Amino acid sequence: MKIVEKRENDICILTPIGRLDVNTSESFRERLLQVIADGTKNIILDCQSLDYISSGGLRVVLEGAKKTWQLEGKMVLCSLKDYIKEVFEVTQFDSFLPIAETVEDALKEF
Amino acid sequence: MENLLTSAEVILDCLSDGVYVCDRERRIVYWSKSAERITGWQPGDVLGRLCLEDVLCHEDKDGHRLCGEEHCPLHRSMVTGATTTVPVTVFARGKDGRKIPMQVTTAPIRNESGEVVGGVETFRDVAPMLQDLERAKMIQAQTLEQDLPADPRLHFATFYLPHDIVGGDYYAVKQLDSDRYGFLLADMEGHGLAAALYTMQLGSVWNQHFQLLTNPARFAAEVNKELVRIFASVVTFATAVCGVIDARAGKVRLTGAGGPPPLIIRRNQTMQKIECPGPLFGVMEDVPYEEQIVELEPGDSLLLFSDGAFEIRNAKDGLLGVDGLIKILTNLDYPQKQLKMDHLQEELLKFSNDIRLQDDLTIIEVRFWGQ
Repeated sequence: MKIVEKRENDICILTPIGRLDVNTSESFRERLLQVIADGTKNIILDCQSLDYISSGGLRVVLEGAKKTWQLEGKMVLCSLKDYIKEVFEVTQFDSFLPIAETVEDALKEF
Repeated sequence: MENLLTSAEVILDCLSDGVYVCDRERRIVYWSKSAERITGWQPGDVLGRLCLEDVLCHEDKDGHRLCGEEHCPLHRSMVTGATTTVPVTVFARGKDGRKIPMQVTTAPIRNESGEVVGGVETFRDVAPMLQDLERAKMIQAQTLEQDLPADPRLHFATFYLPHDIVGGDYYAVKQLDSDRYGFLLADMEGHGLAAALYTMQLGSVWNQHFQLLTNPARFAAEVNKELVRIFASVVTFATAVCGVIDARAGKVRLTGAGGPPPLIIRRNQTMQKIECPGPLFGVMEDVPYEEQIVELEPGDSLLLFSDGAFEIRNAKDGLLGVDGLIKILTNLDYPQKQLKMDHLQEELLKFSNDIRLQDDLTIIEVRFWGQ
């Protein structure tokens, strides 16, 4: 899976492209955990190019978020497409981590 | 080294997995030594014969015959041009008539211009592993198969079809008092053995707390707390919908924890999604759960289902979705006709153009007849 990575001060903005499903979750997980292992504790997951997320994908997002919390950092999601928004609404993901409209709004969460 | 690699057949014959190759018409043109060792069929028995003839007799874990067009893994690979990414467990018939469980992978064979000219199937004998899984299946079935309540005002039915031998869905229905019945349908993240082990834990949580279902939001909060404790440092979760139906008042109270929206099917056959969002179970303690109240009229039905019933993709990347499931139910003449799992499964597989469902599938059906 292609993942675009950008930096804004100490915040890492990850933009996964395509579908986060059974075939791509593992490579996304490796990348996410590597970013955290390299010393980043604040992450924005920019979902503007994410077309689908499976429950395995949700697990990876939660795993990354939990790792950032352990380091007293946080993960913020933003720019959800309609389908992804629906998944996050049904599962009330915003009870676990902040969800912002845009990357700019997400940056304000830190 | 060069000599070693001169013949692909020599290499294939050394593999412990069985291998056979079919041409475009599915005529068997190669049959490896291991294929012979695993099945007992010798090259002379099978070469030149169609793989769909009465030789291999592949069946799925539920006893459905796979040889033919739609459900044959090898045929699927040749039609879609796709290699299997996850092995499929099938049962083949050995020469001595015994059923051999095997994990099968298939791939199309292409010529230089990229045209599919045949297919290759590899298979591994998984009998020892399967014996263990069959025992696990029995243990899981004992947890799930409880007597459904009998009440002339209501009718309960449950359908359960795990993706693998054991599954990650859990369901339960229990009488709470003279008028009220509690129910839960939960789906552990993932499927297979690990998810199945968690369903056993959820079974204990259910037994301990089902009486709380007179207040579904409170029950959900308690289950969530227990699952947070059970999952501990493992990052996973369950999605669920739980609720209580009051046969006297004709009322259902529902609480969701990230599970699919239940459907209310009215007597006039309109189907309505009941959105009940709620935080996933087992992620974080002290998250709030809410409830939705739905009034039922005599003749109405309530359907709860796991996402295996609608999160189904086809080769064109289309997603069935809940609306697609509603269409299928309507085409099956539900609710006038009884819901039959076989028919539903067939329709779902028609959509996915696959040989088996992509996830565990569980349904709880409640028909409300009234006083």
